[in-house]
Amino acid sequence: MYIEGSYLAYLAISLTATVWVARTLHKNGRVFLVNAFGGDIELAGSVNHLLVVGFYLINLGYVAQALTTSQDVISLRTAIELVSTKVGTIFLVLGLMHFFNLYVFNRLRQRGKEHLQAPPILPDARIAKL
Amino acid sequence: MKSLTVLYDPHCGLCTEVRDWLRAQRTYIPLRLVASDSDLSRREFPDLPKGELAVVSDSGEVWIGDHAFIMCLWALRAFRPWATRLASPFLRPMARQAFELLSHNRGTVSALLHLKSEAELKKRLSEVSLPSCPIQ
Repeated sequence: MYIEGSYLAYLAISLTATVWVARTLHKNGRVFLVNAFGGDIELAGSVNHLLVVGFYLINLGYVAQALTTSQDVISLRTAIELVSTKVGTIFLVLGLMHFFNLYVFNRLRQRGKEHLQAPPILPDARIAKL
Repeated sequence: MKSLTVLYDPHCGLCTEVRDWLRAQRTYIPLRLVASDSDLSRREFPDLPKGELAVVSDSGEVWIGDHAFIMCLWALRAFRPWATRLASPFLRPMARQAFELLSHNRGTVSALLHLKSEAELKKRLSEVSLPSCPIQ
């Protein structure tokens, strides 16, 4: 009885967290991407959607893979411990994925502005104009 | 800044190989690749140090050695992020050391990699004597 309850609790918490993080990413990543693609809202929306789909696939895949346990769940205490460990791992994976996505957004934004960058190094000397 | 002139050593196989590679890259700014001992170089840049990689912008700014190398990367579409990275205070000393090591040993490196400059090839070819044609 405890084991089924643990699984259900684990699934409920993990799926809710995944959906919440993905929605946050989708909502707030849009601004970054519109800036990265020079105001091209349609392209930004498309890339944003594709990134979120990848995010869902990886996270849901991991949640499903990490469900089973060989541990005996014989009391409420072991059930809570199991759910806590499992959910903790999922949160850490979500956190890592979230920061990775932020990194990708930022890189795309930087690349979009690259052609405007000034030389990274000051000149060693100056001669008359060519 | 509208263009960059790159002055390279035409007697080093590695340098001419890099020049050909630079020519094949997509750039943000047009690169003009000029041999450092050419008439054009002597006429336009008489005061630049000889035998050192140099980059000159159309507005007259000059970069020498490892700085010139970073500026070459900066001009390339695929390598601008690398130029920014190498120019950071953390990586610049390493970039300088690597460049100096390579630059001072460019003859050895070219020989090891069997890279020959056009000047060397011309010299080698001129040394070859072909037997005259026996058929009259």
